[in-house]
Amino acid sequence: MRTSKTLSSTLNAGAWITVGILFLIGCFMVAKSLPLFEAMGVSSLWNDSGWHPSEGDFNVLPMLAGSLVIAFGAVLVAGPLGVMLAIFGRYYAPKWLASVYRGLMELLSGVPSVVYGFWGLIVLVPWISTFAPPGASVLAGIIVLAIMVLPLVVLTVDTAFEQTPQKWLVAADALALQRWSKIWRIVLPHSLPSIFSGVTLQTGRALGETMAVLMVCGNIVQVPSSLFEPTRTLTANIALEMSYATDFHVNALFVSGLILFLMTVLIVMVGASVKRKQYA
Amino acid sequence: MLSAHRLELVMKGVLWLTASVVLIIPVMMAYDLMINGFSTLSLEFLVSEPRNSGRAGGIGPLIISTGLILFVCLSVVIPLGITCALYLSESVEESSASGKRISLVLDILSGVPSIIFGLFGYVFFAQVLGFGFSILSGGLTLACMALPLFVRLTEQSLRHSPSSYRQAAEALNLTHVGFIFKILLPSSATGIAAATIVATGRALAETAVLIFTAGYVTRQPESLLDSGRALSVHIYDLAMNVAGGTKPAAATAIILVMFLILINGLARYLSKRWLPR
Amino acid sequence: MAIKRFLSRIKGNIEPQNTFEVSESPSLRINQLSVNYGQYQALKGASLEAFSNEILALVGPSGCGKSSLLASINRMTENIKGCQVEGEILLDGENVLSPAYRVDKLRKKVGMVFQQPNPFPLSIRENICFPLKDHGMKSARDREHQLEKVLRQTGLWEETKDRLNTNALRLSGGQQQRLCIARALALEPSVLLLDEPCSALDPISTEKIEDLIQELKTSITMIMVTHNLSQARRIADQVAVCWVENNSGYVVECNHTEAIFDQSSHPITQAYCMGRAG
Repeated sequence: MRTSKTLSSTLNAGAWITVGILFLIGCFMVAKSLPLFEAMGVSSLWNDSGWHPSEGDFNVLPMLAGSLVIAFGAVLVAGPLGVMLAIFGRYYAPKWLASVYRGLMELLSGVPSVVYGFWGLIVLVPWISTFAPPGASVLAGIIVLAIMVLPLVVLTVDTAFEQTPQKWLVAADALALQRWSKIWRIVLPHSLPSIFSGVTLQTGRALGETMAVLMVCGNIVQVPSSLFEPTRTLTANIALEMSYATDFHVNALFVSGLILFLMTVLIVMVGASVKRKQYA
Repeated sequence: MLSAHRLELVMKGVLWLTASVVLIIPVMMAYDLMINGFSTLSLEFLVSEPRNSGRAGGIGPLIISTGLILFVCLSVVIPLGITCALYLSESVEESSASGKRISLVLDILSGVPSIIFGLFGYVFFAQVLGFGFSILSGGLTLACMALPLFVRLTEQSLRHSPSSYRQAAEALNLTHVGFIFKILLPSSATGIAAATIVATGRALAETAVLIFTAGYVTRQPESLLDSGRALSVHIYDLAMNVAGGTKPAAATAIILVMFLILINGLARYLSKRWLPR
Repeated sequence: MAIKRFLSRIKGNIEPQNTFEVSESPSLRINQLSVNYGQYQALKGASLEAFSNEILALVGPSGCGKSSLLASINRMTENIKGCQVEGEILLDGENVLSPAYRVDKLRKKVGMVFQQPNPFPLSIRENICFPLKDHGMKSARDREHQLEKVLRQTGLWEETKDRLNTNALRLSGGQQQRLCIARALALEPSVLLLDEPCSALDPISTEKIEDLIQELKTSITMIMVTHNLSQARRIADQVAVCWVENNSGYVVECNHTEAIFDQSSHPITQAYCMGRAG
């Protein structure tokens, strides 16, 4: 086809703007973090006595711990559960139920996190507080986040199952193998890389989730020592303090943003490399 | 050791049980939202202004703010996203270095937590570009967030366009521009529409980004440079900062989820009819 | 085997006038079999008999319903959405199409080999042993014994005995297909269905598989779909000619191989098998 310079440069520009956004975000995160590093050194992030912005103490470790515990906790719950539900939907449920189930999962994956958080706040937290006050806790965060991530896990795992070569399934049926044997020996091993990469991406999502955890975790800055204690995540910290932060406090919030940013980039890279290896 | 047959029965039971138990959660959520919010819902609630920090009155101006934010967001996402998707499907090979690089950037962008977009928008759009807390800042920041998803879906639908069209265009030696506008984009129109709807859903559901870009003001916005509160932010604020705000928050949540169900249904309908799976 | 045949004759399940000159009773009998996919009728009123220790080849142009016929015998048709099978398939006197006949029992008795070799992505050993274990063969020794037996039967033993733990997907196409045959044989079926087992293979592998099928028929009833007439002529004992008319398949006739290829008076058979049509 006869191509034109205008066309190719327009398309190029579109692509470069997209790349530019990521670049800009990175630049801003770094630029806004640097003043804090210059003034206090990187080590203050873990050496300071705690997170006391008014006194210039910016120890992010408690919140990093909060973020990691809640994100991994949620994925630990939602991962296996999601795989089981995907198996149920694809191999055990009657056709009509499977399609209802899939539709429901698609619907739930679109429900705003603030609605999940709201439900956690008015139902889950009061319930937990009946046996372990105050209720707003790591556990509440893990449960709400797990519920939120679950439909996404189910959908990704189901897509992975869909890729299983039909000829193996046909062979298994012709040999009258038990359904579970077929799944355990043939389907799951084949889908494992995709499942792993999907679950990794969901971990990134859980780590970056703000609203739901902000609403149910109690937001007290501390390394939680039990599931029933409140904690504060990096994301919640930014959302809570950004509106009134000044001076180094702003920079400190950008540092926590930078940490989150780097963690998610790392997670995406890991997820992508697993997927690439599978097709290589 | 269980025999394979026994194991099959056990697993069947376990899976059915799990599926039924998990099903309770969405049912419970819907029920809880309904009993808290149903009594507040009315036509009046949809159009009137919030009063007493939202405890009374309705969400009229907020629906307008949300609509305006979406409008800003989509009027950036659609042209920019289509251009970027065209770059991926027309200018580079899927497996080439630059194709892969852009893909990775899109993957990373779609993995970046929304709060980071919020921080970025706060500094870049609100402060550096001087838009302040405004619908414009909020919409533009949301656009950055929704862009990667939109590009991915649009690229997919462009790639699904029949290759015979391309061959015919090559054989007739059409201009590339003509091919894109007369054949490629029209034949992918429904796919692009579905992508738009999905991106809309994503933007509607977002909260964290908007807290420090579009702001909290509940007044009816008069221009794009006014601050305006989105529905999702309203739910958050009522639930967390307003004592006695549970009922209107639940009602707002019902409205928002209804919108999303509608959008989800529309997207499903479009992609089922037109997007080859 | 002989006793079984005798008993089934006493039970009167098989009408004596249907016995062919080979003093054999059919081990598998198909009566008025129809296969529908929604509105579309793939096969109409097919009746056939297959005898033990013989190879029955189903030949015919594409779309004549021969694969549908084959798939109904072990009810693989149940996997296809909207597929309806009517009629009767008698295996040892029992109708396998009746809902009371259990599918897992049926598929253990009736093995199947497909067009594309489809070994599982497991080791060579596990490809044979895992299905055995799944069917309740508890002792590992028994499984190993069976493994060696079927690999020897299919001529794979010498080729693979030193690398039984390597992935089966590393084998060549022909070896993979023989492994699939071995896998089916391991469950000791009395009938083996072969759906164009050689069409994805090169000539040398094809020859090996053909030899193997001929050796195996001493112990088993074989029904093979093929579009390769010379192959049917080489290895089949009986040939059923299928044809398609008005978009619906049917069986033209079924007879001894020589009868079909040299003496048939049916115009379609003459045209198709003697190279004047199809």
